[in-house]
Amino acid sequence: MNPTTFIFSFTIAMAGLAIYQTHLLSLFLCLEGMALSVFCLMASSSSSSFVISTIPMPLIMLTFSVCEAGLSLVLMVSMARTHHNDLMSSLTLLKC
Amino acid sequence: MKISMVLEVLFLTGMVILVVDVSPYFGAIGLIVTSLVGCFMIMMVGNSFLSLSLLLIYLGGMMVVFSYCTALVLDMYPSIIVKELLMKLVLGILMVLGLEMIIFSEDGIHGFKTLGEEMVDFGFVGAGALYGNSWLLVIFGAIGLFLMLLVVLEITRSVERGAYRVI
Repeated sequence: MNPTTFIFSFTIAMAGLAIYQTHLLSLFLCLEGMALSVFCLMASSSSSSFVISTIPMPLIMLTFSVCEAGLSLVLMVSMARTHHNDLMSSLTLLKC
Repeated sequence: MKISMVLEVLFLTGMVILVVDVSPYFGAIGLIVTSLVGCFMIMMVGNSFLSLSLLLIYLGGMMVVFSYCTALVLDMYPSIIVKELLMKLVLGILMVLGLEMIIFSEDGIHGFKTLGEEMVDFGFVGAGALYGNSWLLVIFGAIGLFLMLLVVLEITRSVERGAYRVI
């Protein structure tokens, strides 16, 4: 598989992370998209080479990506507790 | 039309659906499409165990938890402005077509070749490498996952508070 596709999709998801989205959840979904594209890149490039110790690399990466997803959901839940929604427009420090 | 070309276009289209900011419901659909196509691509290079574990853990674990948390915070009827949605989708699809023209042009960017007709399942070869050479990494992965349980309890202070919302 061509690794260029996965690099392009990583860049697209990173662009989605940099855009001012409406919901905080959309940012975390773009983060998961980045992790997925890196996973597929690792899987396709470790199958093309014949080095055996790079083969479990995507599985280990998936483990830590699950930890990251759990953290992001915890942040979203605590934001829902304090602000009662997860809109990005309520993340402001202005008091007036 | 080669099948790898179709799969790559679908992968990028799923990513574009994820990025287009209508509502996180549609973002989750884009992520599901992308991961299904990615599973198929990983299967095509011969790594079927990894594709199975991606489906189980990513779609069956993480997406389910994401959808539960989406139901907690989102509104039931997302407002979709059709003109903005069409504009973003058309821009995204044009971008995907432009990228595909770059990838598949004759003197464009060349990548690795796909694996031929060798019938070796790399997933099971990798299981030996997982427990043989990198056993410490597996143990640290397990410690990290266990630590996540405690971190989740600590950030939301659920030990002191209890219920999710005080109505």
